[in-house]
Amino acid sequence: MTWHTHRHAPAPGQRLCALENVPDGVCTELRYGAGEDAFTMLLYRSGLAVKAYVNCCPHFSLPLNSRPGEFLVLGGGRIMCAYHCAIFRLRDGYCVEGPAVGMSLDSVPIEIRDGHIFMALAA
Amino acid sequence: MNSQSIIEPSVQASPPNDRTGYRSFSLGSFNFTRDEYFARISWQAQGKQMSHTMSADAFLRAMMRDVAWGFFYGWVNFDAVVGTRNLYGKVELYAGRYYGAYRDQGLDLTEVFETPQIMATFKAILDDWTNEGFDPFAAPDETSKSWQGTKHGNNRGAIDRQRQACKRMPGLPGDAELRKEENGYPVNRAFADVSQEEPEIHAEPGFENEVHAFSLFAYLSRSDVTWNPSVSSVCGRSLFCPTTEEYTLPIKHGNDRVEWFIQLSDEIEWEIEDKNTGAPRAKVLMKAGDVAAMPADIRHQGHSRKRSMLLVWENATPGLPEMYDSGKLKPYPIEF
Repeated sequence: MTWHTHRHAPAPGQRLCALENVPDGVCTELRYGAGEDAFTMLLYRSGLAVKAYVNCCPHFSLPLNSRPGEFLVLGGGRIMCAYHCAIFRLRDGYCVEGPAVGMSLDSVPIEIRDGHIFMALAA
Repeated sequence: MNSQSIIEPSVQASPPNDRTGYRSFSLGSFNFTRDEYFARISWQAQGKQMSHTMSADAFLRAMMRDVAWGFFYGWVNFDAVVGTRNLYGKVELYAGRYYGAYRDQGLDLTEVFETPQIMATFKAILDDWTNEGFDPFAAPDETSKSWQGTKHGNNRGAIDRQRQACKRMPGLPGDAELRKEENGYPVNRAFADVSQEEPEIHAEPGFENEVHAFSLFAYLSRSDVTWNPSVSSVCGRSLFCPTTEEYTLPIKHGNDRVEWFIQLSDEIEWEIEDKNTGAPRAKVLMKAGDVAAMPADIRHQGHSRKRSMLLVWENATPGLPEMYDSGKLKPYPIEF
């Protein structure tokens, strides 16, 4: 199953949040649905650019964070998975160190329009 | 929505020692030094300078697992005195906390570090203290004694190996590769008699791309590490993590959840102790075909006189440690 078929994944074109609510340089968690079945994704903002990824480490298929909203963001635009320490580049989701080397975070296509972040229409 | 600060790990290391060539490292109030034979961990407690000595090979084997497993589930005791506890985002480093003689006199120390900070420090220690030719993942019979002596070279190819994982199952398109001679996994000397035949798959029409199988015995016979489980099946939060074991598990693993062990070949002798006090609870000799549930309130260490195959079945559900800590879950899976 890919994230596209997750029953709580936002639909193409759905508004996610206002750009001004996404702090620069760190990760912001978005959650859809409740409990174990929730779909969670993270946004990483660098200036006016925003990347979005499914919040799931490809190593053990666990979330990258162990506490809601708390991510281990490293200098140089990287993130470390809280469970087994895989380190990913946030600009492209590629794992550069740790147990998921060679794997990538699943990218979520988004668009920014009029100061708001939306799921891309082609998602 | 929440936010957080940016972490910049910084490793505190001395220049190489004039005599031994090894660097010393500090992390919080802890100091790490090594010489020709020994690793020493020192800390201050009650105004006293405390220190604990381990054979350098045992220390490196233990630290190798802690690094490769990303601090694993729960407690990784390097021995009875020193170890780490994974808080998933932060890590406790302790000395004497679970060793009565120190703890009862207040001579223990526990400090909490951001995971990236302690991981960067441990990787730097492992890198500096592992000499050329010594593989901390290997059984003693398969590696050299070059861990001894003054610093000579390094073995980054060996210590950079991680716990292998898959998304669903090895051999599936886009997933982890099966182990073969061609990709660097010869059959281990202990498993020369293991059949390398793969299963035949006869899928019903329409299901050709939905059925997969591989020989776990053949896969494990080509494992190049000991006491380092690899993920070979992912089904939701259920993970099959088989591994090959020889000599002694270099750590005492304190569970923060129940782990199921299925002995696939040969034998492992387990020493099981109370997680907090180290008091003996049981010895279990697992033979091929035996199944055991390691409770969530113990620590265990295994001994395997011949390389053996063990399947570790792990529950990766987030939040499990809190459910055990709160008493919502009992530390064992069944009551008789």
